[in-house]
Amino acid sequence: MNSGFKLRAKIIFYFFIAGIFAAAVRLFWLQVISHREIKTIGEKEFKKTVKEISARGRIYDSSGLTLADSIVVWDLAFMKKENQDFQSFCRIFSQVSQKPQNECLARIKKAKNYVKIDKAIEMSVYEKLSSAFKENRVNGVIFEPHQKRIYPQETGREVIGLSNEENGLTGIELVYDSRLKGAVKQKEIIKDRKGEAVFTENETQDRPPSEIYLSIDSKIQFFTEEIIKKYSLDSGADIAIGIVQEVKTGKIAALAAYPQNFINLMPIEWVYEPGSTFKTITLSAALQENAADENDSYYCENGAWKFSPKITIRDHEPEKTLKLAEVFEKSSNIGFAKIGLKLGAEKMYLYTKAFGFGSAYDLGFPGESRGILKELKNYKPIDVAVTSFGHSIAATPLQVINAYTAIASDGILLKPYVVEKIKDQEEEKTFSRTEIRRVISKETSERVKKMLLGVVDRGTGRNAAIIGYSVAGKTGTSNKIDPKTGKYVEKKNVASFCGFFPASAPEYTILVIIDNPKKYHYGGETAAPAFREIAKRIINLKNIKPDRSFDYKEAVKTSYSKNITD
Amino acid sequence: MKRFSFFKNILLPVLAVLFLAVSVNVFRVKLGYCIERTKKETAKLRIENDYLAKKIAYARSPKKLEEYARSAELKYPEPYSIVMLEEIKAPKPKKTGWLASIFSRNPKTNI
Repeated sequence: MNSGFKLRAKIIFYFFIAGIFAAAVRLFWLQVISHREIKTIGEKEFKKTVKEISARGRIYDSSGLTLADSIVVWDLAFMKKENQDFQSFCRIFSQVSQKPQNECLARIKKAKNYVKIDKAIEMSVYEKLSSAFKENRVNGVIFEPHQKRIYPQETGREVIGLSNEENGLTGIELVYDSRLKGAVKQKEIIKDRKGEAVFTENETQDRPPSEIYLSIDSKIQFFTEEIIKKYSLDSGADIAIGIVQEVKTGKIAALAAYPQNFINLMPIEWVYEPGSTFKTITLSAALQENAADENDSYYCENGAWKFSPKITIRDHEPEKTLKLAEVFEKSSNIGFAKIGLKLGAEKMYLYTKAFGFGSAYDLGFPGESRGILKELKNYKPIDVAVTSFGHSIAATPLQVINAYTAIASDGILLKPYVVEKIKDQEEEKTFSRTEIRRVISKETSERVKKMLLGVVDRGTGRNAAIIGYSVAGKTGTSNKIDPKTGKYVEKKNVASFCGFFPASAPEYTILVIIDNPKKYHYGGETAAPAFREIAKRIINLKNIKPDRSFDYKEAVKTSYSKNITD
Repeated sequence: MKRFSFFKNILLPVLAVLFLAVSVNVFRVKLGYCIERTKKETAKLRIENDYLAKKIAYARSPKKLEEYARSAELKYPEPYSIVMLEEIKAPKPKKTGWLASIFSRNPKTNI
């Protein structure tokens, strides 16, 4: 019996060893001999290379508030061949998303297999849909994630521009597209039979996108947009533009236009004849070159000056003899034509160029205009005369405000800028005050400021005055040219006001342009009040101290008598 | 005796190594699943964070603040109606007598 048992034990043992040996050989065959072949088959089946584009870089305002950011949204698609029961799919979709079931059914019926049902689904709806489809075991559902651009401050959209998931199309999104582009992440994912990821290999990622900090202050931008919209609608204007610039640095705090235009950035692309706002340039040049003095008097021809047999220069109001300050305050075209002729063509041209007209500031925006300035060799006496009061020259709003900022900053022309900082992983690049050139001396700029103060205190710019603050500025009302006939049209004009405050220590320059107002035509009636509203909000926001004494009771009385409601 | 030494010296170590290799691989795969699930969870949390940040940013937008202010019937004040207070620095404390200094706090010992 013992030997029988021993024999059986031996046999079982050998079978056991043989089994293990066979398993070991098979294992060896699979893991070593057929390793490459099996690995290739496995990789084909379970390994996928996935390319992802991460979110575009953020854009911030000057105080760090997010102007543009990206979030993940999902597109919902359905694969008809994987699930014939699309009724339940559409029923669940309709219940959760509150969208009509019929549309969903119609789309699926039209399609052969893959059909997109809904786009840009946000996270809350995506989670509800996802869990509802899982609970009801609905097959054939595909959620495709995408990046969607959002604008939390809901302002400054034209400056920020438009973009799709991959490229910037306009504005800052286009100018800094290469910096803002989302990083391309590539990786190989090994999935199991159920499609769940097991390993990730060979993960590579481009440099992450940069963050752009603009000089735009989102609060100033917001109320500038609101105010120019209000005044544009009130006056029935075609276009309204508002720009706010910081005097000390030259940075642009607000760049607004109404109606919104995402294709053209109007404040830097649109050109117009600046009209009487250009008289400040003529005045600055004349004072600097001693071609005019505060004690000079000018005969204003009773409002109509026959310059030549065919050309008569007219004033808004007939005047006789005026001192220089009065010529400026009352905005006499005839007075300024005489000043310009005394200054001469060459100096008129040189100072116009020195103040930045006829050249672009290279902000980087593709459509930035240089404006239109006649070559010096083509100047005739009539050109000198009319250029003196802002005609026969086309300027962008940015050129006009920057020229006024030069006067406010003691005669130094600064480079305006919209981008303050670019930050990425490796470096941080900051842009700050850049002086282009000194245009006029500090003494001349003080004399011009004094005259600009007079315009607001006593002249055509009275509607821009703010109690307790010295405001220096100039109104402008220029007739528009009919592009068909090339002649000036009587009842169509561009009303504007450009100024800075407080004049004793200027902090901000503001330009408001109202194109073709139907209700009020003059700059003093329509643009100056808009300037005042923007300036008051900035004063409150930035805690700018008053620089003029005032009687509080009188101030309240004046406010209520003007029915200032806001 | 020979069979026993073959089992002990060769087969057992080979089996042990094979067992170890298989265990390591199983552990590696389980860890891989765990890592991938954690990555998925992290990505989900990042998206949730983005959405929360978006909500906060929208709530603080100038447009929203203006809406809240107008619904509360607030109005923009005139600049002259705002009183700005000058920053006044706190005066330096007067020198105390020897008796008071005994009872005053010693910054080093905090007594």
